Amino acid sequence: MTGGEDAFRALYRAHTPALYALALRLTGSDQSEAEDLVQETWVRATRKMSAFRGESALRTWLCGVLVNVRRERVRSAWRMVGPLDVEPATPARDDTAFDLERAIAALPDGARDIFVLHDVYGYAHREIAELLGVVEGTSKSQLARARMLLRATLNLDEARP
Amino acid sequence: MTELPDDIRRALAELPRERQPDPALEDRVVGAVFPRRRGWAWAGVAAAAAVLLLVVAHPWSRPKPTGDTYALLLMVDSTYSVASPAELRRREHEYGLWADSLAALGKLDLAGKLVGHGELPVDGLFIIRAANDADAERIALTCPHYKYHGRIEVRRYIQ
Repeated sequence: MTGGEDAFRALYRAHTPALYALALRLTGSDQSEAEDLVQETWVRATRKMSAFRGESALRTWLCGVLVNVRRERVRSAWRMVGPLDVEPATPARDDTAFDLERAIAALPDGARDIFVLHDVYGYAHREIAELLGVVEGTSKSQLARARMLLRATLNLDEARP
Repeated sequence: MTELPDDIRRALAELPRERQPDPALEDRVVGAVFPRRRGWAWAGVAAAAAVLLLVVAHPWSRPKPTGDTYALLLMVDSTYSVASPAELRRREHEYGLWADSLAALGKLDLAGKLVGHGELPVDGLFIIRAANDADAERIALTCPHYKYHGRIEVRRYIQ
């Protein structure tokens, strides 16, 4: 094993759990696609490491690379329509517990990306617009749509008018 | 803008920020990041580049396989993820790159697809060299076949 590979494995172990969690959320819990995203992110990141200026935390930069990889794959990849795309969201909320992850996974791709980045990871609309190559207005409208769908999925409007 | 209730926002903030992927992913990623690290050693040494590339690129220069012989039988049954013909071609290429990385390490004797349909849903075969059963299983775990929910049967070959 080379020193470079050792160093890379240390980086991989430090940051991959966070990248994988983000990838899972962006892909609607598609493990295979999430693993592909993480792999492509590391390949891309190691090629672009010289572009990392240290202006943000390495993890934040890696997450940005992952979001970009995801955006490109969504645009170009042949995509299979999965059950989440065709089945209506079912209420998953009761008084004590609800499956928020499942509700996020049930969101449409575009709205889910923005919801995850904004409401889960705390990105600003300006940052999301830059990462996803959309205007801020799109980010805001997709977020509103995602929240509305999430409320419907979780039956929030019925539970708390 | 539509707002979410406070308890939902709190729950969102408390969602886990880390998830552990399949341990096999690490080797897969390392394999992708350092695809032919033996071959790329020439990169910073311009004078030796051509010679080294030639040496690494040719099968006769690859390390001679050593260790016990194992067969990895790639099973394609109902768990294997469905794919378009184009995607299957892409996967075959990916499997080929994986086989190349094994060959570069002196751990591959033979790789190929099996034609026809037998009783077992076996689609591919790799004959590898490994130090022992555990090593063979570890190598099998790095195969991209698992990514597509395929199964691999590992069998030691006894002459």
